[in-house]
Amino acid sequence: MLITALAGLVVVVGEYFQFAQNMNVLTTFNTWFQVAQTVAFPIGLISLFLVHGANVQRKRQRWVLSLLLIVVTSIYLVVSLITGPRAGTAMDWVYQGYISPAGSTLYGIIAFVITSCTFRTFRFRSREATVLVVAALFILIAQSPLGGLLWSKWGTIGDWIVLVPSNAASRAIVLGAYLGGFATAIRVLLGIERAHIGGMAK
Amino acid sequence: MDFAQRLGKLDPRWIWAIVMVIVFASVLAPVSVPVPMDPQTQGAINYINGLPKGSNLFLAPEYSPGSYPELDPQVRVISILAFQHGLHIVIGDSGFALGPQLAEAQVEAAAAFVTGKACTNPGTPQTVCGDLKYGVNWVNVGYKQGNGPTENNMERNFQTATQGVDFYGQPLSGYPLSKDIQGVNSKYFSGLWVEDTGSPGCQEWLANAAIPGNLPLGCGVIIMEGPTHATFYAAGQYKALLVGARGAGAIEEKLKAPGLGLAGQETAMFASILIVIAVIAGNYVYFKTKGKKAA
Repeated sequence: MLITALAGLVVVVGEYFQFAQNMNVLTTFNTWFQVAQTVAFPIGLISLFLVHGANVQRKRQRWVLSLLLIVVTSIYLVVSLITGPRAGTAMDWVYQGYISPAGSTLYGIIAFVITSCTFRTFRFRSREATVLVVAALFILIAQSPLGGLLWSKWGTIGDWIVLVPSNAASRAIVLGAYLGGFATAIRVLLGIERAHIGGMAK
Repeated sequence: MDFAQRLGKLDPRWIWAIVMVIVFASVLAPVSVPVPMDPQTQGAINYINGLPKGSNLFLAPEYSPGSYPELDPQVRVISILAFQHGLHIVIGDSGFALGPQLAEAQVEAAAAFVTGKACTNPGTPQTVCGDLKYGVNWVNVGYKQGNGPTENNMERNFQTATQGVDFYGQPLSGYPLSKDIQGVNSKYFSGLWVEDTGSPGCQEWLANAAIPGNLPLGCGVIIMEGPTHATFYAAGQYKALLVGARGAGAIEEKLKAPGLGLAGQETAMFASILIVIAVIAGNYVYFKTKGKKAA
């Protein structure tokens, strides 16, 4: 709790006080943060091996997937350490041939799920729901070339919906969220909020 | 069981199959779809063309392979505009490990397009594309972990935040472009362009580098995030906002540089039509079966 309070105070002082800016307090603190996060990577890796190693050892449900994860991670780690991030290396081959297509495929699946979900859930159940569905469809068409082909003003009206009514609501939500975040930060600094260290709020 | 009831019990795999057919059809038999230039996309072009010629643009590709179909074309067109305008590009990010690798390929593609010459030694610090050269016209400092604090450090002390090495592990002091850069701020850069898929993204770069460093920020986002970021664009906090592959496609069409942005537009159009049909069909089922369920 004391570490959290001190760290928070350093950031506040470093950001708002001239003497602290002259002393490069925030630069030093940011560098510490970078170093700390670098250390967190191997800790995460050790944790991953411990958790999934235990799964394999005790033959828990789906232990084969844990084994696969350990094998793939180990191979990629060793290959990356040996070759570095250079084109034409084994690391680049794994990246280009597996990680990139797999990531894109996962993202592409969204198109299938969204289409299926619109069929099941986009219902004109009430006046509010009708406004929501009609606005969603309008923006959807405005964002694709179809809108421009159907009517030249479609895109302009779509932009107006996004920039004016949608924006007003969005801004209210964002402001509310940031005020909430600010209040939480004050509570953390004062030691009232202790969830991040496993405690309970006072 | 009538038609509406049968439609209501439709196996979702049929819908997935129709989506698959549309995707395959638009890939195998592409239809040329015009992509209109909207004022917002034109604003992104004006943003790049408004930066002083010969100055440096910092490009933060905060994305991963999942969103490359939307953001790779954006990086390519922004880089084409930048090179055509005589800007130098410094690539670097703080949140997405694979972003700089994706962006490097697009910047090389842009350099090849602008010069009309294929790149030699691509993906290395010796890359040369006509008269555009790695280290002189662009440098990739790579992924430097740490999110917001790293972005803040890049603004204050670039060499410390990047550990003084580029994406390839070579010293930044060895390149004419990066040897004198001390911060991502208005002293060394004229603009900051961020590709965003979440956090950290445009908002974090705005707070940690653009505002303290007095840099105008341009933001490229996936289509789903467009409305979220419109808030910052409308308020003037972002000087430009490029949305989705459609935005990139419109610039590709204007530059006569067809790429992935334009290629995906017919698929997007047919997918939109399918979604509209799905909503109409879903509501037909809902209203036709509502009374029967109640009974």
